[in-house]
Amino acid sequence: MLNPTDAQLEQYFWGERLSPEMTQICERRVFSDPELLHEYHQVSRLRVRFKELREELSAFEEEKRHRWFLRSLREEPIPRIVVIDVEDAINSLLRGQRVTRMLRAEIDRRLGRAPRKHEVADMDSRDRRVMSSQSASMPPPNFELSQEFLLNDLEPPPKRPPMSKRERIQARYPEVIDYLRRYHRRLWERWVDEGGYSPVLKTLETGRKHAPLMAALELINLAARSNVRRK
Amino acid sequence: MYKPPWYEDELVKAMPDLMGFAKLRAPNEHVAEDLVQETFYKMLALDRDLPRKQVRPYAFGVLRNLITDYFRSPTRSIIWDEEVEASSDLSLELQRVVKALGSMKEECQDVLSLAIFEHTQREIADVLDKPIGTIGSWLQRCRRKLGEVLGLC
Repeated sequence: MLNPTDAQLEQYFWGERLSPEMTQICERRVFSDPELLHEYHQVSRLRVRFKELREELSAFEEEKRHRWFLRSLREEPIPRIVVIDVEDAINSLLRGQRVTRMLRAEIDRRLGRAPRKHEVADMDSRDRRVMSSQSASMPPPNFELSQEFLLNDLEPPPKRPPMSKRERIQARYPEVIDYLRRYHRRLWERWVDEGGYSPVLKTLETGRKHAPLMAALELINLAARSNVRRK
Repeated sequence: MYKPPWYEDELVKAMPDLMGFAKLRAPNEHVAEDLVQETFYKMLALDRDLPRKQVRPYAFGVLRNLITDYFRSPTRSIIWDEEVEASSDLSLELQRVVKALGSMKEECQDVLSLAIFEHTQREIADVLDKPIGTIGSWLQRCRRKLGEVLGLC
């Protein structure tokens, strides 16, 4: 009888695909050798724990999945309206401070370049209407009102031509919109609880490599907060 | 570079396991998320064609290299010193497994972590860029050691 190699036995232990003949050979070999049988049971027990561990570690909470999704988008990942909100949030946070070149470059890299004031004036008039309605009619930080506002915001107004820019954004980034809508209140509350302090900008300026990514995420969160904060 | 429509699908499918792998190897959940995000960033910017079946192992390879780089980076302490360790929701038994894994040599951590996420020996060999025979013997040695630590002998 052909003897299986160590590698084949190892594959058999771990349940990897082997030819039916080789599986049978390994089976006979393992069950005729007490030491191999012991190893087989050890691997089986390990596999049970590994399976549990995999299930636990791979479980994604919905919120985390969305948060992660946001962070994984890159080139022009965020609707321009949100980018403008980011800009607003940064400006309000940095009031009295100078935005460093590195900070600006990092924000632009991660979020796409935010339109400057004069560019905002050239925006699609519909977008501008939506933005100004956000600024003018922003309700107080009340969950129901915020939700209602956001839900209204998600629904295209009547008589809008098909697939306006806003609808295209919503179609393309449903997760982003969903995320902002669903976690709006929590972000607002956290912002209030923390007294408006955010270490993010400092991290962005001084951090290396991974820190800017974290900071970019926080900037997106700031955008959501700024939606509520503006009145 | 053009990526076929299935490319992102494959990445998204692998996402939970990539995150799980990162959580297993990174010092905390924030770092894990960061590293997975960086992995996606690299995978989306990848300037080469990959066969569909290789997308997942390749992504794991990228992530594993990022994890290695992370631990070698002299700046990591500056960035993450103030981070609080995420509290683990794992059962005590699984925490034991994670702790035991963390105490093993890097090669053992690599092969066993990949085995947890159901990679075949061939895939582990591809991810770690080692001959399959080497992976077989590492796997055998490392799981024996892990079995001993966990009292499964």
